[in-house]
Amino acid sequence: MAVDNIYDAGIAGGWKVRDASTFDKNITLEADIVIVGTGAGGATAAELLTQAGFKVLMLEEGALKTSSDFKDMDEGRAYKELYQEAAGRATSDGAIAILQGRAVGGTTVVNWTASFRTPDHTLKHWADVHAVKGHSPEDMAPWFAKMEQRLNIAPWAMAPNPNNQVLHDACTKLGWEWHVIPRNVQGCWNSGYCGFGCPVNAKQSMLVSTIPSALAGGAELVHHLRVETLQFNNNEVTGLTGIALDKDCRHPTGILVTVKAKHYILAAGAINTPALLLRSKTPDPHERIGKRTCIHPVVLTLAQMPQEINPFYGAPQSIASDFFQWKDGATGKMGYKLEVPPIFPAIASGILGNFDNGLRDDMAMLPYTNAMLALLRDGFVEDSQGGQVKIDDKGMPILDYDVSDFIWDGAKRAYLSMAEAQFAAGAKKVRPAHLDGSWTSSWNDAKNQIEHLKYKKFRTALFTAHLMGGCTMGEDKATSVVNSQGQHHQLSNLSIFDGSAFPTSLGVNPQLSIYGLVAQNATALAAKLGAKV
Amino acid sequence: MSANHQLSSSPLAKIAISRRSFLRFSAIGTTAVVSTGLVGSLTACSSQSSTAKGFSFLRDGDLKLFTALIPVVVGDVLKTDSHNYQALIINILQKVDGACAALGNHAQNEIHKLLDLLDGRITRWLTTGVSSKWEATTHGDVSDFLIRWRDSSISPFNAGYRVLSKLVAVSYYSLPESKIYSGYPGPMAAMYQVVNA
Repeated sequence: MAVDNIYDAGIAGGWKVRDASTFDKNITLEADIVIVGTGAGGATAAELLTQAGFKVLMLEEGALKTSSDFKDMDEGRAYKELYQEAAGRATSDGAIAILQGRAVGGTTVVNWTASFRTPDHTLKHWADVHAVKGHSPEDMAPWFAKMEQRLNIAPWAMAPNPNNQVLHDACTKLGWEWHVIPRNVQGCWNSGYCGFGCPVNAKQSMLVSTIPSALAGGAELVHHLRVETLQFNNNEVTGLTGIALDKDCRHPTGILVTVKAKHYILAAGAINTPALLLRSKTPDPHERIGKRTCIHPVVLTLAQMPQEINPFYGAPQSIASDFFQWKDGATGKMGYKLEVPPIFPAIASGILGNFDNGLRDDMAMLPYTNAMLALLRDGFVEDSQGGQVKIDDKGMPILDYDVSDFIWDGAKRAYLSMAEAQFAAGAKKVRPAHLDGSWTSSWNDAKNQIEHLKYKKFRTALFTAHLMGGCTMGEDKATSVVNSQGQHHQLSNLSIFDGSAFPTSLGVNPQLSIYGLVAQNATALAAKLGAKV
Repeated sequence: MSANHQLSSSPLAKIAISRRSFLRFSAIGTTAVVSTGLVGSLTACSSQSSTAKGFSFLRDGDLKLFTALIPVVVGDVLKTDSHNYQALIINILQKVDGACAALGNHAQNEIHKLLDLLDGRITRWLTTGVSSKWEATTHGDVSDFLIRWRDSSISPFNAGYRVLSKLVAVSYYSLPESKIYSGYPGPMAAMYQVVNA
């Protein structure tokens, strides 16, 4: 069965898709609205604004890769071609690994499809503490519903794979809350390859939904183009300059693309959006750009189960638990959401953290291995204010992120919860992904070990796949970069429509929060600009 | 910071009194061995500059380091007496090179500093305990070095352990040859056949 990759036919039928790596001279493009970035935020805005009758131009630094490129279902190829820095991105000190997408469709091309509404606790906290207006649970509900319908989001109807079943069994046995994860899929094969690009276009990523729709409506897409700077005078953006990247999306070709538009939207993600503003020396009277970058720090424990788990196959995330999430309210001890990650060989070898025959033995047990993860909900209290995006001397982004004692306390309690869960589900052996972690064969032994681990960077394996904040929204200009509608406080024709607008982390995987917020704010923008349709 | 500055501007002879004092300084200074000016002054003798032929990030000295690391990180799933051992090593080195080449400017600079430290004769000996050239090390030498960095109370050594072991492990386990050692049967057969039909 040949899978229709959507783009071959679309382009043959006249879609305006251009690859900047092939440009041989500098050019200037014009549009009503230019959007930088084609992930969850940018592509959602592109579809809605195209439908509203505007001439929309989408710019993307990554490559256009379609289901035709995903047929090998190969881990190494995916990291190399679809992730920021070939999946090697990390915080500035190297202590926290960052998994973030980089392609037409952004991270939605490689995420694991978990689609949660922003929790009510989070939305209320934003209103109470960060002066956010118009995004209460009641305000947001219709926008989440709209995007759930658009992307076919529904709780996973099939049985969880054995990896997720471990979390389900643990929660059932321990009396912990658990729920089925809603996923943005249509005709899903339950294969488990979401992280490498869906080879059958079942995942309703931006690549197969809103971007094709925008293109069919007349929008234009230029990929292999990194936006370097915005230009502005007084209180308006007057243009932007992008630099074409070579075929591998690594090095500039030297060709410049200038864009003139009536309105500018940034949606390059919570690392690259603030970096672009910093590079451009955007007005920032209260020095808020790049601040409060939240990441849902992730810690993991590993378990060897008596039964086959094959953690690489099957819908990667279908069960989650919020039992520890809001126990102490939004601003008590750090809350966390429990989930499981899919585990393929290369990522497993990186998580295990050991070497020589210790690594060999653990790798050989991969088919029996369950991994559990905790998303630590950062950004809600004084002792957890997120990190900071800066730029280096070449203008490239770097993320500083300190781990406070408040966060380490969350990490330790999360280790305890996960080890307890894995033993409750029948694990033979459990160990934390920590340099001092060794296999334990009972919950008591695990508890003892976890109590005595050294909670330090590098010793503790830390990850993030969720980047939020850095251009936070709010009505107080002294504490935020954009207002609640995403409009920049100083530049009237600039909006920020991505996860960088979130004032805190969310407590859930972020894609639906971005879709809902951007759908609402882009619709308001269309009205403000005088929608033609 | 002042202690750092003082030390980094001192002559090499004064610093290299003993490995013990070097490490003690690092523990006190807390700033990275890897990221202070100290490394620069100690590795001034490092002749590494251009990338190795056929590589885009790693230099000749780095290739020797990783060639020594690979069998130790991966363990005895790698058959050193196999006829295609050399080809496999080159394949893994290419993957390591590709991973480094894809990193941002800041991370690349940090890795270069780390690799310079491990290339310089004196800094290598002071920080790893390995006095011979990488190509002359035994499995035990390299293993001792990795254990020392892994178990060190000094964060930058832990960081060095993490980055070196991860680069090698991930590079190896992304190769098709490694699948039999991870029990991963490969792409889900039913789907693979259909999408590739």
